[in-house]
Amino acid sequence: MDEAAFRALYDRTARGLWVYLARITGSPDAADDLLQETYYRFLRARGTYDGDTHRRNTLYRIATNLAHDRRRRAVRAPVVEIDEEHLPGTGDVAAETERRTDLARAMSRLRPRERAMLWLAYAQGSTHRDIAGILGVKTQSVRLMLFRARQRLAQLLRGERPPIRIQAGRHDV
Amino acid sequence: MYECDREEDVLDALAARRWPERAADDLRAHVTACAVCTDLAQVAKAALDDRQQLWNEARVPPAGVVWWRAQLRAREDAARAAGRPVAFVQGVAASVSLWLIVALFRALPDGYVSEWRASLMSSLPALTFTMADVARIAEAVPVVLVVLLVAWLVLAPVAIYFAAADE
Repeated sequence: MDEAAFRALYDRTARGLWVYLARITGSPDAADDLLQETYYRFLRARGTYDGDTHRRNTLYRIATNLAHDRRRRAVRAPVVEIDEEHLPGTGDVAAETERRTDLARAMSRLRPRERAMLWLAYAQGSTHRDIAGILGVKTQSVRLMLFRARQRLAQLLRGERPPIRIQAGRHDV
Repeated sequence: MYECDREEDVLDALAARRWPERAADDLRAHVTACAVCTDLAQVAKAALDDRQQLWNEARVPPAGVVWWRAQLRAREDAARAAGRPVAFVQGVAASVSLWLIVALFRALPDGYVSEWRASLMSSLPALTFTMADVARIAEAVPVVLVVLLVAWLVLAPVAIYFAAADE
């Protein structure tokens, strides 16, 4: 890919990709780093693509894998299940209101794949086939997985109390 | 039940920014009654609003900077990659040479080295190997060493060629 073609692709995709990375990692700083790395790996792969959608999906797949690797590298404590009422600050009305309306906080309580899936489906408008390609799951499974993730996020947004997976020592997921 | 026939209608209304105020009455009534569409409308609206907000906050470097950094890194990676086979070949060459020298000296007859050195010192101005010397050395060198030496002579340039070609 020459520089002109890269610039055109970058201008079409970079902002959306940054937003995706920021939301699935929960960290704008991580998004800054991973954005550069994503394009570097994309260029290095020197792949052949059927079209713009294929290129875009490849970029998102690389970005998703990088975010996954970053999570795995992070020092973290074992996952524990706790109920939301044991979280600090839930008694405060203002904080509770903010929590209900804050998608970022609600999403941070989802599994990484659920987060990516919901974002791709509803913020990006990706098809089930695209989502399957990006996340490495079967297309037929996407509908049910999406339904479960959506149900869980909706519960969190409404302030209901599904069991929450907390990863102590982490601030970005 | 985890799907509803009207999911697409809800998503269309959201994408067109018609939801909820300017959406059709029957769609709003449906969403109120349908648990699947209630969740869908809530989640999709939150995601779209969040995306809009993040879009405005995105810190995206210029394309030229990303391209330049990628080129720079590609060169560094290529240089590192090129260095690996060259270092390997050099190591092999050094090992083979050392092995060859040791094998040569071990294969020579007793006293040959001291005789050879004395002869060398006395005839330094006209130092030459006679054909007999060459034949004796050739007989002393194991065949496997010769094969390794030849292999190295062939493979080293090939390795260097491929390492350089990547760059």
